[in-house]
Amino acid sequence: MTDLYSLTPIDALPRGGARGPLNWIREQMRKLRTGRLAFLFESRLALLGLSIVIFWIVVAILAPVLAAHAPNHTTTKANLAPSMEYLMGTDHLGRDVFSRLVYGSRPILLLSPISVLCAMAVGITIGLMGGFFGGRADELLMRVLEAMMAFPTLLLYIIIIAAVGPSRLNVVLAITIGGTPGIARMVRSLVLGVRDREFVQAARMRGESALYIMFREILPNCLGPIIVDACLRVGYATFAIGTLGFLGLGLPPPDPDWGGMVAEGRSFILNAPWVVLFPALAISSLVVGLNLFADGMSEASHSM
Amino acid sequence: MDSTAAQELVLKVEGLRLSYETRRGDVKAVRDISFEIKRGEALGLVGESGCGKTTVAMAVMAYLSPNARVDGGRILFQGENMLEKSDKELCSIRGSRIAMVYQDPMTTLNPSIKIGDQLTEVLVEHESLTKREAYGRCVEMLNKVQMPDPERVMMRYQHQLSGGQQQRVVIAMALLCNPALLIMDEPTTGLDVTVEAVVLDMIRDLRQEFDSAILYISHNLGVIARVCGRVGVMYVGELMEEATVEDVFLKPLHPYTRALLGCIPGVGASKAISPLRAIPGRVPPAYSLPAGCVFAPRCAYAKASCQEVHPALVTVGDGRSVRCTRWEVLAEEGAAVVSGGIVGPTIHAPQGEAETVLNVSGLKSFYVDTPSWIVRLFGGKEQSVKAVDDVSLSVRKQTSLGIVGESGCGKTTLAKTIAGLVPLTEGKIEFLDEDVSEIVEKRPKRILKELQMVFQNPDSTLNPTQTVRQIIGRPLKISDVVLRSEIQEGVRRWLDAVNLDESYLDRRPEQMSGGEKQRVAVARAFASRPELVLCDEPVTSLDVSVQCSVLNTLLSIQTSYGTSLVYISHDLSMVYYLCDYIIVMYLGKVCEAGPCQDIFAPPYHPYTEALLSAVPIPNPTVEQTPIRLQESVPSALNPPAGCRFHTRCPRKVGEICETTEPPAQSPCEGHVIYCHIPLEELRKVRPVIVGGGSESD
Repeated sequence: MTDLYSLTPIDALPRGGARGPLNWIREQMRKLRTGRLAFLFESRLALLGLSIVIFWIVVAILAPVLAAHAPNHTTTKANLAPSMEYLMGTDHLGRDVFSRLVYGSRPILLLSPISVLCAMAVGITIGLMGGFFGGRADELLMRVLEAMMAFPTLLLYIIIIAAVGPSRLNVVLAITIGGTPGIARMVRSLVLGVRDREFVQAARMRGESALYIMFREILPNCLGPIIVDACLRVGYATFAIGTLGFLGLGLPPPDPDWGGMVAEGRSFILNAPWVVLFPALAISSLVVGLNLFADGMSEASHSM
Repeated sequence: MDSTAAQELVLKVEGLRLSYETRRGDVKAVRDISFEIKRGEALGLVGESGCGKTTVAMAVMAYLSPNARVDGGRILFQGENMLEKSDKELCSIRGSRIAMVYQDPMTTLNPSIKIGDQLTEVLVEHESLTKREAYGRCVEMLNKVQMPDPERVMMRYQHQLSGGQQQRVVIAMALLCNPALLIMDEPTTGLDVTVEAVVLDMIRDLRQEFDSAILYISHNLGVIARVCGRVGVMYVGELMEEATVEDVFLKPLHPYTRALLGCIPGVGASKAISPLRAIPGRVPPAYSLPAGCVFAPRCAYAKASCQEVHPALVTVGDGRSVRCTRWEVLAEEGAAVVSGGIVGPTIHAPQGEAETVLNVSGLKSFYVDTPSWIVRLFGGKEQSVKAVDDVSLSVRKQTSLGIVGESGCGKTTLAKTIAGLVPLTEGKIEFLDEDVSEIVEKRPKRILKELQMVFQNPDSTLNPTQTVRQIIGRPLKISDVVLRSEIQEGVRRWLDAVNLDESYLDRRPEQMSGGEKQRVAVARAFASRPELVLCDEPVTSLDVSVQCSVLNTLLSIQTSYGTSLVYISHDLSMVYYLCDYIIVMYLGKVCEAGPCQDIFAPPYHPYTEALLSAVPIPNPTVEQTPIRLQESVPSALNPPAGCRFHTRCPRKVGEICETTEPPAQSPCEGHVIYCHIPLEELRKVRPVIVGGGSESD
């Protein structure tokens, strides 16, 4: 204990001289502090958000190691309270809630980013083209998108899933279609702000192709707000997938799905609240984590 | 002229030292500044941006940001130390005994309160008048600042007034309580030359009438010469020289003053006779100052000793002081001989008939504002802004064509139409014997690299997400002027050509200053070795010394490649310096066109005459015929019939001006004037700018 003060201060060590793993980590942290992710250190909440998200990603990756039982393995011990063997109890079919929760993180962590990426790809393309070319086609497209935005998002999802049937692919499809109009409109407005800047005019005078101007000159200048929006949207998508699962429109049973777990446990909420509580907590913590991260990022992009 | 009986001292600043506490440590923004202003006297403070001029002005008002700290010195306003006053006392002094006029009237006036209410508030607050009593005083004051129709202006909002009128309101507001000290921080910088001239005249008259002391801050030496009696030259927080206007401009002692003067084209100076001399280097940041004389690293006269000894401000002669150890040596070297600095190229226009590069005939470019179908249903009509209306011009090989005019006269639209960025409505553009009347996307590819443009705004001319390497490399690659394998080498050469070193290769625009960005923009435009480059006010937003060095770079590249230039500017002396031919534009029409020398000598078009008379010239011995234009440029949505200039023309002949388009009159080969006044009459006008002998050689 007394020795603590006789240690050489970290700052006094030669830079890059001592090559322990600890120093490597320190070096990486220093790079992080000055690099693009520096905002994480400005905003503790963003760091907290990221930690939550990383926690769930680790859980999803290590699912086979963490889960004590097969997620779909049924026993006769239905609605057992949490115990050492069943950490979060069992549901009405005697399945281990903990194992289902752990495995349930996989589809949601996979599907929400994928669906947001798809929505982004479509939305950015439409927004870029509309904003850059303008004219009648843009006018028409925007009216169509506005008509789509007039529907409450959830209603739109339900209509789509009801039409094509619940499956992983269709959940992605629904969220893509639901997210596209908002993204396209946002990108379009960003493009309009950049389109008439002088460097774009210089590119036109060089004879650059429309594609080059859109993707190399304009898009990089719109990326900041787009990334923040994408992070927020992953949160929404997570929430939407949970909701769809709850409504029975998510992943087809019996595979574990947080929303579906809440729906199944709903009828037993009074005598077996753990069946509902833990998946609900899981969904909300992931959504809160994503939102905190996105907020921190948008603050950082505003202050730059 | 300031020798009125009561030489009462209004402001005395003694050894003022001030620093800002920042993350990088203390920044000593103002170091040991002393000056005095007497009643009825105007002191001008000049210097490049970042020299602490505004900080001094704010300190005088005791109006400092929270991280500012006064390290020493006193600010005595009518004998009272401003730095020891309480907030309450300051409140009653500011606005009544000391008034300030800021640079931008748009942000000084409150857009949601009527002008009248904003003006009367000052008197109600400071002199406890009733609103009615105050109203009369305010109208009277608006009359004094030559505001047309003051009663109606009182009822208006800020956005209903033009920039010049807004600035007049701000000045009237400042004068309402008859302040003992009036501080003006670049009050005319955002205004057009013609409007600026009117406002400056007004300030000069008001100074005599109100007998206030004026502290006038500007980066424009010409403006200072017009308004002030004495000048203080500031450089990174220090006063380098203080003297009367005549001494500063005609017998400058400090090398910095000389260097500043060398940066601006004088009267009748052209690139063929007296090249501009840029100041090498740049203003050092206040947190890392040179040890000795702060100007020594950039000084053409510096000796080794200058790097070590920090010179003190020494008094030389009557009311004149200079901060230079070698001033005596310099004084002997002669009056206004400016030497040293980075000398720009001397260029002579090619003699004889060179071939034509660009030929524009009958060009019209209208912005059509089509209302949506719903508005049309209720009788909304299509309106067109006639930005460019029937302009013809031609540019010959290796020559420069200047286009001048006030803002809103269609200069930029003309350039953008030629560039193909804006579609033309009518007319024809021929470039290198090919018809390029289409927009840029429809022009033949091989012609594109021959026509490039340098844009006005350094902040948006470069893509913020790209590095200099990418920015300059792209035109090299796309225009195929160098082999693919030599692009990197090409980028390096271009950086060198625009005087930037290799450390700039991987910088992004946010890591560069305005001047550096414009240099990169120049390199980008010239990289494809174009035949013609259009320059749209490329240096307007830069500091004088930076302006000069960027222009020199532009000129030397132009000469070495034999490129033709179209140079757009509102600054007549700049255009005169740079160009061989000039077109004067007004509201989308050409007023006068011809070789440079002819434009600047009678016969003039009345508009050219007014422009010339308005140019601020940094030489107090020059006399300019005072011709002032009232109002501002009418709207191009509904331009006046006949001669478009008739609404403001001081020499309007009569009804013919309002009904008939003026005929083209040609006093000599290549010189055209569009005016109803007969040529003989126009020839009788005496030259607008007379004097300024020191500029010769």
